Amino acid sequence: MSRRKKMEVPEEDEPGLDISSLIDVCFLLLIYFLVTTTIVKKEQDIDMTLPSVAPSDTPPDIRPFFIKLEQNGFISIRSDGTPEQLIESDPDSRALSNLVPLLESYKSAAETTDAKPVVQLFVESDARQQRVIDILNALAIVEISTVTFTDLIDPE
Amino acid sequence: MASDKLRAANEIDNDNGEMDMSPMIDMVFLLLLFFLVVSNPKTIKIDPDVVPPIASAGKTPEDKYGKIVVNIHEDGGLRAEQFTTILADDEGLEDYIKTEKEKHDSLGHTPRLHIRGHQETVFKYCRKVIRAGARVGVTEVVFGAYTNDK
Repeated sequence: MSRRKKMEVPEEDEPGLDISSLIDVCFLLLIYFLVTTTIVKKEQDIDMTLPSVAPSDTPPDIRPFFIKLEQNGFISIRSDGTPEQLIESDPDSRALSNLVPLLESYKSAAETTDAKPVVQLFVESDARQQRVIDILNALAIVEISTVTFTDLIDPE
Repeated sequence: MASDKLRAANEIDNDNGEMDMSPMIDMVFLLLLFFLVVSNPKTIKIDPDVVPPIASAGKTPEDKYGKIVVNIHEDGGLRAEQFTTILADDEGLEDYIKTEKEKHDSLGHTPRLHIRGHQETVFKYCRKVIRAGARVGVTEVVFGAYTNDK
């Protein structure tokens, strides 16, 4: 009886894969990602191209659309030689619902003459950055990316 | 006889006391894939003291190369992308933009001025940065913004 017990096949001979090391690696990677992942609010871009910083002798094909931002957040425009006109008087309004349609009509007018729409932006020094971005956002909505800041050239 | 054998075989299997690991591995892989998919490679270093303005028409950055990052704090303090580097004066700012521009030029990337201005700062500081960039020949400007305030 005891002799038969000795003849039993050992358990090690059974084919089997040791997956514990695989699990170790997986957990290690999982913990790494859990620790290193930081939930950061995604930041977006508002692109803008400055056409030129030096005064140019050649006038643009179309009269630029002039936008003035005052430090209190008021926005005025001047287009086609018309007098300055206040169009946005609520500094907390993000949508700029009066400015966007005017920019759209200016852009379509520029496109009919095959000219590139150019916006001239005058911003008072103490105007809030958010308000400037509101205007640039309106320009991005109508896909105008050529902007001139009228006061960027250093005084001689 | 046969049923006795079967019963005996089942008893042996149950006596093993081994746990089935496959659902756990499935779950681990699922979580791993989730984190791999949702993790977004950061394109620029984020200065935590700057809260960018909100712009609904902002676009997802297409190219991370060529960016010359300038952070503008609420009080008007200027910082480089390594936000421990303070750009104290106009000369320092211009030098920083110029050095970065040369670096990007040598690598064949179009240099772009990436302005991360705090939403409550005033425009004069931003103008100072754009002006410094224009002086060294960087005419493409990108403003960092959130698409919503949530």
